[in-house]
This record gives sequence, C-alpha cells and structure tokens, in this order.
Amino acid sequence: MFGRVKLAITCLIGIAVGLISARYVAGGGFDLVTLSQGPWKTWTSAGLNTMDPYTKAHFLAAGRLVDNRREVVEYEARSDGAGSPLDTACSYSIAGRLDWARWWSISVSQNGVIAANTKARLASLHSGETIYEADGTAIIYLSSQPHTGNWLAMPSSGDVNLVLRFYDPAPVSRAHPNTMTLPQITRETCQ
Amino acid sequence: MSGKLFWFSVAVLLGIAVHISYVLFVPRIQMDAKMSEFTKLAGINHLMVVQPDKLESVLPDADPSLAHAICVFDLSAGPIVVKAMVPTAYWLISFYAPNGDGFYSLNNRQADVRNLNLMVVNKSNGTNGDSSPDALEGTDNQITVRSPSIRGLVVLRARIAAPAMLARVQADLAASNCVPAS
Repeated sequence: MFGRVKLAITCLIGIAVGLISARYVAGGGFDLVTLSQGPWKTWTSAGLNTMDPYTKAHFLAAGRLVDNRREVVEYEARSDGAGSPLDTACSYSIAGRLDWARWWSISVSQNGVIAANTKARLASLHSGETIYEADGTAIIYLSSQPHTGNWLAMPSSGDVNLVLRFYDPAPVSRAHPNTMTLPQITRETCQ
Repeated sequence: MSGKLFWFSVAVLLGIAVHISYVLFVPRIQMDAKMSEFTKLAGINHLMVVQPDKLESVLPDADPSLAHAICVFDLSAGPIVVKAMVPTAYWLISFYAPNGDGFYSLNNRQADVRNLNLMVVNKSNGTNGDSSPDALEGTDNQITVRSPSIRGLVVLRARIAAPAMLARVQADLAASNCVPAS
C-alpha cells in the first residue's frame, strides 16, 4: 500500500516536472532556443528548415502555423522594458522606429488567442494605420481604456503578451533578428 | 541503492521521458487534430475564406491584420492547382505539410503577376526524388510546387489595409481556388 502511494507520487512529480520543463524551455525559458532583446523574444530557428523541436513545440502545440522566415520575423513580449509582466490594470507606451520591413503589425494575445477577438481589429494595429512622429517613430498606447493616437486595446483582465510581426523583412533582419531595432515598452500609469 | 535515491531516479527518468515526449509528439498530435479540423471546415481541395470571428478557433494567434483562406489538399488522385488572384497589396501564399512544416511560400512582390497557377505535385513522384527543389519556376504565371506529403494545407493571406476594406480583401481571396488539376 505504502509502495503504491510512493509510486503514484513519484509518477505525478515526474510527469509534472517533464511537462513544466518542456513547456518552459519551448516558451523561451533559459533562452535556449530564443534570443532576447529587452522584453522582446524571437525564436531563432522559427520558419527555417532547421527549426528545432522546442520551437516547433512552442508554435505547433498551440495550433499555430509557423511562417517562413523569408516572409515574417516575429517577436513576443510578456513584460515591459523594466522586466515587469504586462498588467491589464496599467497603460503602456510602445515606441520606436519599425521601418526595416515592408510592413509590420502588433497584436495583443492572451494565452495564444488574439485578445478581444469579437472586435479583432481593436486587438491589433499595423504600419499602414499608424500615425508617426516627424522623425518616423511610432508611439503606440497599450491600455484597456481608449487612448488618443495609436491605441492598441488590451483586455481588462488576465495575462497578456504582445506579438510583433515584420512582413517581407530585409535580409539582414532575417539572418540576425536580435540585432534589429525594436520598440521600447514603458509603463505609463496604473489604476 | 537507498529507497529515496531509487524513487528520485524514477521521478527523474519519468520526467525526462515526459519532457522528450511532449516536445516530439505533442506538436504532431496537435497538428493532426488541426488538419482534421481544417478538413471538416473546408473539405478537401476546396478553398475556404476564414471569417474574422472564426479566425482564433481556426488559426490560433493568426494576425488579425490579414484576411485568411485555407485549402486542405489531397494529391492521392493526382496533382492539384491553386489558381490564385494576386492583389497589388500584400498577399502571401504558404504551403504546409501535415506535421506543420512549411515547404513553400510566395508573396505578391515575388509573384509579380495578377493571376498565378501553382500546380502542387507529390515530391516522391518527381524524377529527381528528394533532391528536387521545392518549386520549379515555369512560365511567368505557372509554378510547380513539390509537396513532401500526399496531404497538406495551403494558407492564403492578404493584408486588410483598413477595417472598411475587409469585404473587398475577402472577395479577392475568394476569387482564388484550389482544385484537382485534371
């Protein structure tokens, strides 16, 4: 009886450790298969013929199709520039020059699902509908409440992350995605 | 070996087995499920435009800045042709094997034509086997794409420049089709 309990507990611990560690590494933990630049992460082999199993797991286990690197370079952010997780009670500015691809888009995602999907257009913004500063900088406001200027709607609760995609990127960015200029994510105010 | 060390070793070995199994098999199982779902939704060798309210369930985390259309192809009865109407705005066609590996993609600038026929053939039927390139450029508007598998998925995407243009972009996608070659 005591041996069976030990076996059950051992199996539970083994399965939990195996699952959590696999999901952690595939999700970008330890930066084993990702490159980080500030809060932004990119999966280094995503969209290449040499895509590693962890990167495949990150995308395909969530039912996400991976775009060819020649077509799309993609980054994800779960925190602001100070390293704090994105909080739906706060508002953020996302600022930078993003003109190194034919066009770009940024969307808010919740657990692999584009947020506010009944109003999907509110949960994303692309380069063609963005207002730019005189020097070409884009300043995007991420908040759950409407904001003047380039507003990216955030849900009112839950964990969120940002997905930034560059379409038809320049060859240098495809080869060295961690060297490209990415926008700063700055926390502005919190409720 | 002491009892504690034995149980610790069992937990570690099981953890390693689960870790490897998750990484290797879960993506494949998930993609098999997605392919079945795509087939139920769109049928075989038939192009279906994905409505925005279905986008998240059909293509999780897909970019809502794009309109999407999917076609599950089956080459068991012979090649298929994707007859694509290519808009002047950003457009992308991507081909995937059932395990999720992308094997060919082309955007509107690379295509550089308004009407494009992509003949999809099984790679194993090619005269040069696996050493064949994934696509053979034919005439200006005819391309042969070699699929590594009998079945697969084609995804067409077109940029929605502004929300008011959604219907027009979807109509552009719907003007394409995905049919048996013969």
